Amino acid sequence: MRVRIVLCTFLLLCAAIAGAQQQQPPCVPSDTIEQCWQRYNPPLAMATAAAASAVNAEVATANTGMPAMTLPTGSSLKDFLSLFNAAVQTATVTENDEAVTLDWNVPFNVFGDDKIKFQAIFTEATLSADVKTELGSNTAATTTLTDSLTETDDIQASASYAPQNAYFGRSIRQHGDLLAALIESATGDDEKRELQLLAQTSFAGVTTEAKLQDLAPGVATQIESSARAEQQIAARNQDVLKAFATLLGNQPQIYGTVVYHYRNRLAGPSDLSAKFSYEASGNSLNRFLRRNRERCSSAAIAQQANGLDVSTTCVGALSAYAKQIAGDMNAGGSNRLAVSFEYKRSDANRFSLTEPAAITVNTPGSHSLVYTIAYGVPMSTTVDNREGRFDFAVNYEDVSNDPMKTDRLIASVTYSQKLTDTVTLPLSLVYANHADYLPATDRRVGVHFGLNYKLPDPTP
Amino acid sequence: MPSCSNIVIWEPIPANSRFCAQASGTSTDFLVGVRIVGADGSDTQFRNGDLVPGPAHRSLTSQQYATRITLTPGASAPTVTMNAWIEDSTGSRIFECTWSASAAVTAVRVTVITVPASA
Repeated sequence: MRVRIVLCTFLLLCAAIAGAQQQQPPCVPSDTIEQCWQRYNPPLAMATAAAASAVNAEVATANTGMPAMTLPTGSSLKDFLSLFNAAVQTATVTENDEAVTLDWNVPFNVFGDDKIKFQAIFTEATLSADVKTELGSNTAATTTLTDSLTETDDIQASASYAPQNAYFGRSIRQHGDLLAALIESATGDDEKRELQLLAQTSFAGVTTEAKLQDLAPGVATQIESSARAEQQIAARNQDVLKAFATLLGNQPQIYGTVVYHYRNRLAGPSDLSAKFSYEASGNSLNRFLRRNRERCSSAAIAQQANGLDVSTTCVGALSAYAKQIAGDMNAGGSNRLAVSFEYKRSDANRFSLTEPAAITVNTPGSHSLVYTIAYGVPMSTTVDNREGRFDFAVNYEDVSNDPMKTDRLIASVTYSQKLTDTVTLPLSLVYANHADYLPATDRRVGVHFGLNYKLPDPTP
Repeated sequence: MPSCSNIVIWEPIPANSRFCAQASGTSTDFLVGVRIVGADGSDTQFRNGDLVPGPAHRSLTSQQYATRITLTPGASAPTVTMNAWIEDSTGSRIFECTWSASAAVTAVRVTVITVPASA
Protein backbone atom coordinates (compact mmCIF):
# COMPACT_ATOMS: atom_id res chain seq x y z
CA MET A 1 0.00 0.00 0.00
CA ARG A 2 2.77 2.39 1.03
CA VAL A 3 4.64 1.60 -2.18
CA ARG A 4 1.55 2.45 -4.23
CA ILE A 5 1.17 5.80 -2.47
CA VAL A 6 4.83 6.64 -3.07
CA LEU A 7 4.50 5.56 -6.71
CA CYS A 8 1.36 7.64 -7.24
CA THR A 9 2.99 10.65 -5.61
CA PHE A 10 6.05 10.22 -7.81
CA LEU A 11 3.91 9.95 -10.97
CA LEU A 12 1.87 13.04 -9.97
CA LEU A 13 5.08 14.95 -9.32
CA CYS A 14 6.45 13.93 -12.71
CA ALA A 15 3.20 14.95 -14.37
CA ALA A 16 3.28 18.33 -12.59
CA ILE A 17 6.87 18.95 -13.64
CA ALA A 18 6.10 17.86 -17.20
CA GLY A 19 3.04 20.13 -17.23
CA ALA A 20 5.08 23.05 -15.98
CA GLN A 21 7.71 22.44 -18.61
CA GLN A 22 5.05 22.15 -21.27
CA GLN A 23 3.66 25.56 -20.30
CA GLN A 24 7.10 27.11 -20.64
CA PRO A 25 8.80 25.82 -23.80
CA PRO A 26 12.45 26.77 -23.87
CA CYS A 27 13.84 29.02 -26.57
CA VAL A 28 14.90 27.31 -29.78
CA PRO A 29 17.94 28.22 -31.89
CA SER A 30 15.76 29.70 -34.65
CA ASP A 31 14.18 32.18 -32.19
CA THR A 32 15.18 35.81 -32.43
CA ILE A 33 16.29 37.52 -29.23
CA GLU A 34 12.88 39.17 -29.03
CA GLN A 35 10.98 35.90 -29.56
CA CYS A 36 13.06 34.15 -26.91
CA TRP A 37 12.53 36.99 -24.44
CA GLN A 38 8.81 37.01 -25.05
CA ARG A 39 8.42 33.28 -24.49
CA TYR A 40 8.98 34.13 -20.84
CA ASN A 41 7.79 37.74 -20.86
CA PRO A 42 4.85 38.13 -23.27
CA PRO A 43 4.59 41.30 -25.35
CA LEU A 44 3.08 44.37 -23.76
CA ALA A 45 -0.46 44.09 -25.10
CA MET A 46 -0.74 40.41 -24.17
CA ALA A 47 0.94 40.94 -20.83
CA THR A 48 -1.39 43.79 -20.00
CA ALA A 49 -4.54 41.87 -20.87
CA ALA A 50 -3.45 38.71 -19.11
CA ALA A 51 -2.39 40.46 -15.96
CA ALA A 52 -5.48 42.63 -15.92
CA SER A 53 -7.70 39.58 -15.93
CA ALA A 54 -5.65 38.07 -13.13
CA VAL A 55 -6.06 41.08 -10.88
CA ASN A 56 -9.69 40.37 -10.27
CA ALA A 57 -10.73 42.26 -7.20
CA GLU A 58 -8.49 45.26 -7.03
CA VAL A 59 -9.31 48.87 -6.45
CA ALA A 60 -9.39 49.90 -10.05
CA THR A 61 -11.87 47.40 -11.22
CA ALA A 62 -13.78 47.29 -7.95
CA ASN A 63 -17.54 47.54 -8.11
CA THR A 64 -18.20 50.91 -6.50
CA GLY A 65 -21.99 50.76 -6.86
CA MET A 66 -24.15 53.74 -7.71
CA PRO A 67 -22.24 57.03 -7.82
CA ALA A 68 -25.00 59.45 -6.67
CA MET A 69 -23.88 61.56 -3.70
CA THR A 70 -27.38 62.61 -2.69
CA LEU A 71 -29.79 59.87 -3.71
CA PRO A 72 -30.73 57.27 -1.11
CA THR A 73 -29.38 54.49 -3.30
CA GLY A 74 -25.81 55.85 -3.37
CA SER A 75 -23.01 53.41 -2.56
CA SER A 76 -20.95 53.34 0.64
CA LEU A 77 -17.84 53.46 -1.56
CA LYS A 78 -17.51 56.63 -3.60
CA ASP A 79 -15.25 56.50 -6.63
CA PHE A 80 -12.87 59.48 -6.74
CA LEU A 81 -10.57 57.73 -9.21
CA SER A 82 -12.46 57.13 -12.46
CA LEU A 83 -12.53 60.07 -14.80
CA PHE A 84 -16.24 60.01 -15.62
CA ASN A 85 -19.29 58.04 -14.52
CA ALA A 86 -22.80 58.15 -15.88
CA ALA A 87 -25.75 56.41 -14.24
CA VAL A 88 -29.41 56.19 -15.02
CA GLN A 89 -31.96 54.99 -12.52
CA THR A 90 -35.66 54.46 -12.80
CA ALA A 91 -38.36 53.48 -10.35
CA THR A 92 -41.45 51.35 -10.52
CA VAL A 93 -43.08 53.13 -7.60
CA THR A 94 -42.68 56.86 -7.13
CA GLU A 95 -39.93 57.83 -4.73
CA ASN A 96 -37.37 59.65 -6.74
CA ASP A 97 -38.51 58.79 -10.21
CA GLU A 98 -36.13 58.53 -13.12
CA ALA A 99 -32.76 60.03 -12.35
CA VAL A 100 -29.67 60.52 -14.46
CA THR A 101 -26.36 61.05 -12.67
CA LEU A 102 -23.30 62.51 -14.35
CA ASP A 103 -20.11 62.28 -12.32
CA TRP A 104 -16.77 63.84 -13.15
CA ASN A 105 -13.57 63.67 -11.06
CA VAL A 106 -11.19 66.55 -11.63
CA PRO A 107 -7.64 66.72 -10.22
CA PHE A 108 -7.23 69.55 -7.73
CA ASN A 109 -3.51 69.80 -7.24
CA VAL A 110 -3.33 72.73 -4.85
CA PHE A 111 -2.60 70.41 -1.88
CA GLY A 112 -1.13 67.49 -3.81
CA ASP A 113 -3.14 64.93 -5.76
CA ASP A 114 -6.53 65.75 -4.31
CA LYS A 115 -9.71 65.36 -6.32
CA ILE A 116 -12.89 67.37 -6.76
CA LYS A 117 -15.91 65.41 -7.82
CA PHE A 118 -18.51 67.35 -9.77
CA GLN A 119 -21.85 65.67 -10.02
CA ALA A 120 -25.20 66.57 -11.56
CA ILE A 121 -28.36 64.57 -10.97
CA PHE A 122 -31.31 65.18 -13.25
CA THR A 123 -34.47 63.81 -11.64
CA GLU A 124 -37.86 63.54 -13.27
CA ALA A 125 -39.71 66.53 -11.76
CA THR A 126 -43.10 65.95 -10.16
CA LEU A 127 -45.56 68.36 -8.55
CA SER A 128 -44.75 69.07 -4.92
CA ALA A 129 -47.03 67.81 -2.19
CA ASP A 130 -48.10 71.41 -1.41
CA VAL A 131 -49.19 71.99 -4.99
CA LYS A 132 -51.03 68.66 -5.13
CA THR A 133 -52.88 69.54 -1.93
CA GLU A 134 -53.94 72.90 -3.37
CA LEU A 135 -55.11 71.29 -6.62
CA GLY A 136 -57.18 68.72 -4.75
CA SER A 137 -59.27 66.69 -7.17
CA ASN A 138 -58.74 69.00 -10.14
CA THR A 139 -57.16 66.31 -12.32
CA ALA A 140 -57.19 68.43 -15.48
CA ALA A 141 -55.09 71.13 -13.81
CA THR A 142 -52.86 68.49 -12.21
CA THR A 143 -52.20 66.93 -15.62
CA THR A 144 -51.54 70.32 -17.22
CA LEU A 145 -49.07 71.38 -14.55
CA THR A 146 -47.35 67.98 -14.46
CA ASP A 147 -46.93 68.08 -18.23
CA SER A 148 -45.41 71.55 -17.99
CA LEU A 149 -42.46 70.20 -15.97
CA THR A 150 -39.34 69.26 -17.91
CA GLU A 151 -36.15 67.30 -17.25
CA THR A 152 -34.38 70.48 -16.15
CA ASP A 153 -36.88 71.35 -13.42
CA ASP A 154 -35.26 69.17 -10.74
CA ILE A 155 -31.46 69.24 -10.79
CA GLN A 156 -28.96 68.60 -8.03
CA ALA A 157 -25.47 69.94 -8.66
CA SER A 158 -22.72 69.07 -6.21
CA ALA A 159 -19.00 69.51 -5.72
CA SER A 160 -17.10 67.19 -3.38
CA TYR A 161 -13.53 67.64 -2.22
CA ALA A 162 -11.58 64.53 -1.21
CA PRO A 163 -7.99 64.74 0.02
CA GLN A 164 -5.66 62.05 -1.32
CA ASN A 165 -2.71 61.33 0.93
CA ALA A 166 -1.01 58.49 2.76
CA TYR A 167 -3.96 58.11 5.15
CA PHE A 168 -6.99 58.94 3.01
CA GLY A 169 -7.93 57.99 -0.54
CA ARG A 170 -7.22 55.01 -2.76
CA SER A 171 -4.58 56.53 -5.05
CA ILE A 172 -1.39 54.49 -5.50
CA ARG A 173 0.69 57.60 -6.10
CA GLN A 174 0.80 58.48 -2.39
CA HIS A 175 2.45 55.18 -1.54
CA GLY A 176 5.19 55.10 -4.19
CA ASP A 177 8.13 54.96 -1.77
CA LEU A 178 6.56 52.29 0.44
CA LEU A 179 5.57 50.16 -2.54
CA ALA A 180 9.02 50.49 -4.14
CA ALA A 181 10.63 49.44 -0.85
CA LEU A 182 8.33 46.43 -0.57
CA ILE A 183 9.04 45.34 -4.14
CA GLU A 184 12.77 45.71 -3.55
CA SER A 185 12.41 43.68 -0.42
CA ALA A 186 10.55 40.95 -2.33
CA THR A 187 13.02 40.81 -5.21
CA GLY A 188 16.18 41.40 -3.18
CA ASP A 189 19.25 41.88 -5.37
CA ASP A 190 17.86 39.69 -8.13
CA GLU A 191 16.89 42.54 -10.44
CA LYS A 192 20.24 44.28 -10.16
CA ARG A 193 22.05 40.97 -10.65
CA GLU A 194 19.96 40.15 -13.72
CA LEU A 195 20.53 43.60 -15.27
CA GLN A 196 24.25 43.51 -14.54
CA LEU A 197 24.60 40.10 -16.19
CA LEU A 198 22.81 41.45 -19.26
CA ALA A 199 25.07 44.52 -19.25
CA GLN A 200 28.12 42.25 -19.10
CA THR A 201 26.95 40.16 -22.06
CA SER A 202 28.31 41.61 -25.28
CA PHE A 203 25.57 42.72 -27.66
CA ALA A 204 27.93 44.54 -30.03
CA GLY A 205 26.54 44.36 -33.56
CA VAL A 206 23.42 42.56 -32.37
CA THR A 207 19.78 43.54 -32.81
CA THR A 208 16.69 42.01 -31.22
CA GLU A 209 15.96 40.44 -34.62
CA ALA A 210 19.15 38.37 -34.48
CA LYS A 211 18.58 34.63 -34.21
CA LEU A 212 19.96 32.81 -31.20
CA GLN A 213 21.80 30.36 -33.45
CA ASP A 214 23.76 33.24 -34.98
CA LEU A 215 24.95 34.71 -31.67
CA ALA A 216 28.32 34.21 -30.06
CA PRO A 217 28.55 31.21 -27.70
CA GLY A 218 27.11 31.98 -24.30
CA VAL A 219 25.06 34.97 -25.43
CA ALA A 220 21.98 32.92 -26.30
CA THR A 221 22.21 31.07 -23.00
CA GLN A 222 22.47 34.33 -21.10
CA ILE A 223 19.47 35.82 -22.92
CA GLU A 224 17.27 32.87 -22.01
CA SER A 225 18.56 32.85 -18.46
CA SER A 226 17.84 36.59 -18.11
CA ALA A 227 14.41 36.17 -19.67
CA ARG A 228 13.59 33.45 -17.16
CA ALA A 229 14.90 35.56 -14.28
CA GLU A 230 12.88 38.57 -15.44
CA GLN A 231 9.75 36.42 -15.58
CA GLN A 232 10.25 35.41 -11.95
CA ILE A 233 11.03 38.95 -10.78
CA ALA A 234 8.01 40.32 -12.64
CA ALA A 235 5.78 37.70 -11.01
CA ARG A 236 7.04 38.63 -7.54
CA ASN A 237 6.60 42.31 -8.40
CA GLN A 238 3.00 41.66 -9.46
CA ASP A 239 2.27 39.62 -6.34
CA VAL A 240 3.32 42.54 -4.16
CA LEU A 241 1.28 44.95 -6.28
CA LYS A 242 -1.79 42.76 -6.01
CA ALA A 243 -1.50 42.39 -2.25
CA PHE A 244 -0.89 46.12 -1.86
CA ALA A 245 -3.86 46.95 -4.08
CA THR A 246 -6.17 44.82 -1.96
CA LEU A 247 -5.36 46.87 1.14
CA LEU A 248 -5.25 50.15 -0.80
CA GLY A 249 -8.82 49.56 -1.96
CA ASN A 250 -9.88 49.47 1.68
CA GLN A 251 -8.32 52.83 2.59
CA PRO A 252 -10.68 55.32 4.24
CA GLN A 253 -12.02 58.29 2.33
CA ILE A 254 -13.05 61.62 3.77
CA TYR A 255 -14.83 64.29 1.79
CA GLY A 256 -16.93 67.40 2.02
CA THR A 257 -19.78 68.13 -0.39
CA VAL A 258 -21.74 71.24 -1.25
CA VAL A 259 -25.04 70.57 -3.00
CA TYR A 260 -27.42 72.96 -4.68
CA HIS A 261 -30.78 71.40 -5.42
CA TYR A 262 -32.74 73.47 -7.90
CA ARG A 263 -36.44 72.83 -8.31
CA ASN A 264 -39.09 74.51 -10.36
CA ARG A 265 -41.41 76.13 -7.79
CA LEU A 266 -44.13 73.66 -8.85
CA ALA A 267 -41.83 70.80 -7.83
CA GLY A 268 -40.94 72.30 -4.45
CA PRO A 269 -38.45 74.66 -2.86
CA SER A 270 -34.82 74.76 -3.89
CA ASP A 271 -32.27 74.01 -1.21
CA LEU A 272 -28.58 74.35 -0.45
CA SER A 273 -26.72 71.89 1.73
CA ALA A 274 -23.27 71.10 3.06
CA LYS A 275 -22.33 67.51 3.78
CA PHE A 276 -19.41 65.84 5.50
CA SER A 277 -18.75 62.14 4.84
CA TYR A 278 -16.35 59.51 6.10
CA GLU A 279 -15.90 55.99 4.73
CA ALA A 280 -13.79 53.28 6.28
CA SER A 281 -13.10 49.59 5.99
CA GLY A 282 -11.65 47.44 8.75
CA ASN A 283 -8.84 45.91 6.71
CA SER A 284 -7.12 48.96 5.30
CA LEU A 285 -3.48 49.66 4.53
CA ASN A 286 -3.49 52.10 7.48
CA ARG A 287 -4.54 49.33 9.83
CA PHE A 288 -1.98 46.89 8.44
CA LEU A 289 0.83 49.43 8.87
CA ARG A 290 -0.28 50.27 12.42
CA ARG A 291 -0.27 46.59 13.36
CA ASN A 292 3.12 46.01 11.75
CA ARG A 293 4.83 49.23 12.71
CA GLU A 294 8.14 47.64 13.62
CA ARG A 295 8.70 45.51 10.55
CA CYS A 296 7.15 47.98 8.10
CA SER A 297 9.20 51.10 8.87
CA SER A 298 11.39 52.31 5.99
CA ALA A 299 14.54 51.30 7.85
CA ALA A 300 13.19 47.85 8.71
CA ILE A 301 12.04 47.09 5.14
CA ALA A 302 15.45 48.08 3.76
CA GLN A 303 17.02 45.37 5.95
CA GLN A 304 14.60 42.68 4.86
CA ALA A 305 16.48 40.99 2.02
CA ASN A 306 14.40 37.82 2.19
CA GLY A 307 11.13 39.69 1.80
CA LEU A 308 8.96 36.64 1.35
CA ASP A 309 9.35 35.40 4.91
CA VAL A 310 5.86 35.86 6.36
CA SER A 311 6.91 35.76 9.98
CA THR A 312 9.56 38.47 9.93
CA THR A 313 9.19 40.73 6.91
CA CYS A 314 6.74 43.45 5.99
CA VAL A 315 6.12 42.24 2.44
CA GLY A 316 5.59 38.68 3.67
CA ALA A 317 3.06 39.85 6.23
CA LEU A 318 1.39 42.06 3.60
CA SER A 319 0.94 39.15 1.19
CA ALA A 320 -0.42 36.89 3.91
CA TYR A 321 -2.83 39.58 5.15
CA ALA A 322 -4.08 40.36 1.62
CA LYS A 323 -4.69 36.67 0.91
CA GLN A 324 -6.59 36.36 4.16
CA ILE A 325 -8.82 39.34 3.26
CA ALA A 326 -9.44 38.13 -0.29
CA GLY A 327 -10.34 34.67 0.95
CA ASP A 328 -12.54 36.21 3.58
CA MET A 329 -14.45 38.60 1.33
CA ASN A 330 -17.88 37.19 2.09
CA ALA A 331 -17.04 37.19 5.78
CA GLY A 332 -16.43 40.92 5.82
CA GLY A 333 -12.84 41.32 4.65
CA SER A 334 -13.59 44.41 2.57
CA ASN A 335 -16.92 45.58 4.01
CA ARG A 336 -17.21 49.32 4.25
CA LEU A 337 -19.03 51.68 6.59
CA ALA A 338 -19.89 55.22 5.52
CA VAL A 339 -21.38 57.92 7.70
CA SER A 340 -22.35 61.44 6.76
CA PHE A 341 -23.80 64.51 8.34
CA GLU A 342 -25.58 67.13 6.26
CA TYR A 343 -26.97 70.58 6.99
CA LYS A 344 -29.68 71.61 4.57
CA ARG A 345 -31.38 74.99 4.14
CA SER A 346 -34.55 75.02 2.06
CA ASP A 347 -35.78 78.22 0.49
CA ALA A 348 -39.27 79.53 1.05
CA ASN A 349 -41.61 78.64 -1.81
CA ARG A 350 -44.33 81.27 -2.26
CA PHE A 351 -46.34 81.80 -5.43
CA SER A 352 -49.85 82.05 -6.79
CA LEU A 353 -51.36 80.76 -10.03
CA THR A 354 -54.60 81.66 -11.74
CA GLU A 355 -54.27 79.19 -14.62
CA PRO A 356 -54.97 76.31 -15.04
CA ALA A 357 -56.29 76.58 -11.49
CA ALA A 358 -56.30 79.29 -8.86
CA ILE A 359 -53.87 78.12 -6.19
CA THR A 360 -51.60 79.74 -3.67
CA VAL A 361 -48.56 78.03 -2.22
CA ASN A 362 -46.95 79.57 0.83
CA THR A 363 -44.23 77.27 2.13
CA PRO A 364 -41.80 78.88 4.57
CA GLY A 365 -38.09 78.22 4.42
CA SER A 366 -36.67 75.59 6.74
CA HIS A 367 -33.47 74.06 8.03
CA SER A 368 -32.82 70.40 8.50
CA LEU A 369 -30.10 67.99 9.49
CA VAL A 370 -29.67 64.76 7.58
CA TYR A 371 -27.84 61.81 9.10
CA THR A 372 -26.82 58.93 6.85
CA ILE A 373 -25.26 55.61 7.63
CA ALA A 374 -24.43 53.13 4.88
CA TYR A 375 -22.81 49.72 4.93
CA GLY A 376 -21.38 48.06 1.83
CA VAL A 377 -20.66 44.36 1.38
CA PRO A 378 -18.74 43.24 -1.73
CA MET A 379 -19.72 39.79 -2.97
CA SER A 380 -17.07 37.68 -4.63
CA THR A 381 -17.91 35.58 -7.66
CA THR A 382 -16.25 32.78 -9.50
CA VAL A 383 -15.98 35.01 -12.57
CA ASP A 384 -13.01 37.38 -12.60
CA ASN A 385 -13.86 41.04 -12.13
CA ARG A 386 -17.62 40.51 -12.04
CA GLU A 387 -18.21 40.92 -8.35
CA GLY A 388 -21.45 42.25 -6.98
CA ARG A 389 -22.05 44.36 -3.89
CA PHE A 390 -24.82 45.05 -1.43
CA ASP A 391 -25.22 48.53 0.02
CA PHE A 392 -27.55 49.16 2.92
CA ALA A 393 -28.31 52.80 3.74
CA VAL A 394 -30.49 54.69 6.21
CA ASN A 395 -31.09 58.44 5.89
CA TYR A 396 -32.84 60.38 8.63
CA GLU A 397 -33.84 63.98 7.93
CA ASP A 398 -34.54 65.97 11.07
CA VAL A 399 -36.60 69.05 10.22
CA SER A 400 -36.44 70.94 13.46
CA ASN A 401 -37.89 74.36 12.83
CA ASP A 402 -41.01 73.80 10.78
CA PRO A 403 -44.02 72.26 12.50
CA MET A 404 -45.66 71.77 9.10
CA LYS A 405 -43.03 69.27 8.09
CA THR A 406 -42.22 66.01 9.75
CA ASP A 407 -38.95 64.17 9.97
CA ARG A 408 -38.27 61.81 7.15
CA LEU A 409 -36.71 58.36 7.14
CA ILE A 410 -35.43 56.64 4.03
CA ALA A 411 -33.95 53.16 4.09
CA SER A 412 -32.58 51.38 1.07
CA VAL A 413 -30.85 48.21 0.05
CA THR A 414 -29.08 48.13 -3.30
CA TYR A 415 -27.49 45.23 -5.08
CA SER A 416 -25.17 46.19 -7.93
CA GLN A 417 -23.79 43.62 -10.29
CA LYS A 418 -20.87 44.28 -12.60
CA LEU A 419 -21.73 43.20 -16.12
CA THR A 420 -18.51 44.33 -17.78
CA ASP A 421 -15.43 46.25 -16.64
CA THR A 422 -17.33 49.50 -17.15
CA VAL A 423 -21.02 48.65 -16.81
CA THR A 424 -22.81 47.93 -13.54
CA LEU A 425 -26.48 47.04 -13.07
CA PRO A 426 -27.97 48.26 -9.77
CA LEU A 427 -31.28 47.15 -8.26
CA SER A 428 -32.61 48.98 -5.20
CA LEU A 429 -35.44 48.61 -2.76
CA VAL A 430 -36.23 51.93 -1.11
CA TYR A 431 -38.52 52.60 1.83
CA ALA A 432 -39.58 56.11 2.85
CA ASN A 433 -41.95 56.95 5.67
CA HIS A 434 -43.37 59.77 3.56
CA ALA A 435 -42.65 61.73 0.44
CA ASP A 436 -40.42 64.77 0.51
CA TYR A 437 -42.12 67.81 2.06
CA LEU A 438 -45.27 65.85 2.80
CA PRO A 439 -46.36 66.32 6.41
CA ALA A 440 -48.64 63.32 6.76
CA THR A 441 -47.40 59.82 7.13
CA ASP A 442 -47.49 58.17 3.75
CA ARG A 443 -45.21 55.16 3.82
CA ARG A 444 -44.04 53.99 0.46
CA VAL A 445 -41.69 51.48 -0.99
CA GLY A 446 -40.00 51.89 -4.33
CA VAL A 447 -38.04 49.54 -6.52
CA HIS A 448 -35.29 51.23 -8.51
CA PHE A 449 -33.18 49.78 -11.21
CA GLY A 450 -30.76 51.30 -13.67
CA LEU A 451 -27.37 51.20 -15.28
CA ASN A 452 -24.03 52.70 -14.29
CA TYR A 453 -21.31 53.31 -16.87
CA LYS A 454 -17.69 54.25 -16.18
CA LEU A 455 -16.18 56.04 -19.13
CA PRO A 456 -12.99 54.37 -20.33
CA ASP A 457 -9.90 56.49 -20.52
CA PRO A 458 -10.29 58.72 -23.58
CA THR A 459 -6.61 58.59 -24.45
CA PRO A 460 -6.07 56.49 -27.59
CA MET B 1 7.90 58.40 -31.21
CA PRO B 2 7.80 54.70 -32.12
CA SER B 3 6.18 52.25 -29.73
CA CYS B 4 8.68 49.49 -29.01
CA SER B 5 8.89 45.92 -27.82
CA ASN B 6 9.55 44.96 -24.18
CA ILE B 7 13.15 44.12 -25.12
CA VAL B 8 15.17 46.72 -26.99
CA ILE B 9 18.83 46.98 -27.96
CA TRP B 10 20.18 50.43 -28.80
CA GLU B 11 23.51 50.26 -30.55
CA PRO B 12 25.94 51.91 -31.15
CA ILE B 13 25.87 54.61 -28.46
CA PRO B 14 28.48 57.33 -29.13
CA ALA B 15 30.72 58.61 -26.36
CA ASN B 16 29.31 61.36 -24.11
CA SER B 17 25.73 60.36 -24.78
CA ARG B 18 23.08 60.29 -22.11
CA PHE B 19 20.03 58.20 -21.34
CA CYS B 20 16.91 60.34 -20.87
CA ALA B 21 13.39 59.44 -19.80
CA GLN B 22 10.18 61.18 -18.89
CA ALA B 23 6.70 59.96 -18.01
CA SER B 24 3.16 61.27 -18.01
CA GLY B 25 -0.32 59.98 -17.33
CA THR B 26 -3.93 60.90 -17.87
CA SER B 27 -4.13 61.28 -14.09
CA THR B 28 -1.49 61.40 -11.38
CA ASP B 29 -2.49 57.97 -10.10
CA PHE B 30 0.47 55.94 -11.35
CA LEU B 31 4.01 54.89 -10.52
CA VAL B 32 6.93 54.76 -12.92
CA GLY B 33 10.53 53.72 -12.51
CA VAL B 34 13.77 53.50 -14.46
CA ARG B 35 16.73 51.46 -13.22
CA ILE B 36 20.00 51.71 -15.15
CA VAL B 37 22.65 49.15 -14.24
CA GLY B 38 26.09 49.22 -15.84
CA ALA B 39 28.42 46.32 -16.54
CA ASP B 40 30.54 47.64 -13.66
CA GLY B 41 27.60 47.33 -11.26
CA SER B 42 26.76 51.04 -11.14
CA ASP B 43 23.08 51.42 -10.32
CA THR B 44 20.94 54.51 -10.98
CA GLN B 45 17.23 54.67 -10.22
CA PHE B 46 14.63 57.26 -11.18
CA ARG B 47 11.08 57.40 -9.84
CA ASN B 48 8.03 59.63 -10.20
CA GLY B 49 9.73 62.63 -8.64
CA ASP B 50 12.46 62.51 -11.30
CA LEU B 51 10.46 61.31 -14.30
CA VAL B 52 7.26 63.34 -14.02
CA PRO B 53 7.41 65.66 -15.82
CA GLY B 54 11.11 64.98 -16.25
CA PRO B 55 13.16 64.42 -18.16
CA ALA B 56 15.58 62.58 -15.93
CA HIS B 57 18.93 61.75 -17.45
CA ARG B 58 22.09 59.80 -16.78
CA SER B 59 25.38 60.19 -18.61
CA LEU B 60 26.59 56.98 -20.19
CA THR B 61 30.23 55.99 -19.96
CA SER B 62 31.83 53.68 -22.52
CA GLN B 63 30.35 50.50 -21.09
CA GLN B 64 27.23 48.49 -21.77
CA TYR B 65 24.12 49.15 -19.65
CA ALA B 66 20.90 47.25 -19.06
CA THR B 67 17.88 49.32 -18.07
CA ARG B 68 14.58 48.24 -16.57
CA ILE B 69 11.62 50.53 -17.12
CA THR B 70 8.38 49.95 -15.21
CA LEU B 71 4.97 51.57 -15.66
CA THR B 72 2.28 50.87 -13.08
CA PRO B 73 -1.12 52.54 -13.50
CA GLY B 74 -2.98 52.98 -10.23
CA ALA B 75 -6.56 52.33 -9.28
CA SER B 76 -8.09 54.69 -11.80
CA ALA B 77 -6.36 52.82 -14.65
CA PRO B 78 -4.96 55.96 -16.26
CA THR B 79 -2.96 55.60 -19.44
CA VAL B 80 0.68 55.99 -18.43
CA THR B 81 3.26 56.82 -21.05
CA MET B 82 7.03 56.57 -20.76
CA ASN B 83 9.27 58.13 -23.34
CA ALA B 84 12.96 57.19 -23.27
CA TRP B 85 15.71 58.24 -25.62
CA ILE B 86 19.44 58.56 -26.10
CA GLU B 87 20.85 62.03 -26.65
CA ASP B 88 24.25 62.33 -28.26
CA SER B 89 26.78 64.99 -27.27
CA THR B 90 25.06 67.57 -29.49
CA GLY B 91 21.68 66.96 -27.89
CA SER B 92 20.23 65.09 -30.84
CA ARG B 93 18.00 62.11 -30.17
CA ILE B 94 19.60 59.12 -31.83
CA PHE B 95 17.39 56.38 -30.35
CA GLU B 96 13.91 56.79 -28.96
CA CYS B 97 10.97 54.69 -27.81
CA THR B 98 7.60 55.11 -26.11
CA TRP B 99 5.72 52.59 -24.02
CA SER B 100 2.23 52.81 -22.56
CA ALA B 101 0.32 50.97 -19.87
CA SER B 102 -3.31 51.26 -18.84
CA ALA B 103 -4.32 48.11 -16.94
CA ALA B 104 -4.96 48.99 -13.32
CA VAL B 105 -2.36 47.99 -10.75
CA THR B 106 -0.52 45.93 -13.35
CA ALA B 107 3.14 46.65 -14.03
CA VAL B 108 4.42 46.79 -17.58
CA ARG B 109 8.15 46.07 -17.62
CA VAL B 110 10.61 46.84 -20.38
CA THR B 111 14.29 46.03 -20.76
CA VAL B 112 16.61 48.31 -22.76
CA ILE B 113 20.21 47.39 -23.49
CA THR B 114 22.55 50.17 -24.60
CA VAL B 115 25.78 49.13 -26.33
CA PRO B 116 28.65 51.62 -26.62
CA ALA B 117 30.14 52.36 -30.03
CA SER B 118 33.53 51.14 -28.92
CA ALA B 119 32.31 47.72 -27.77
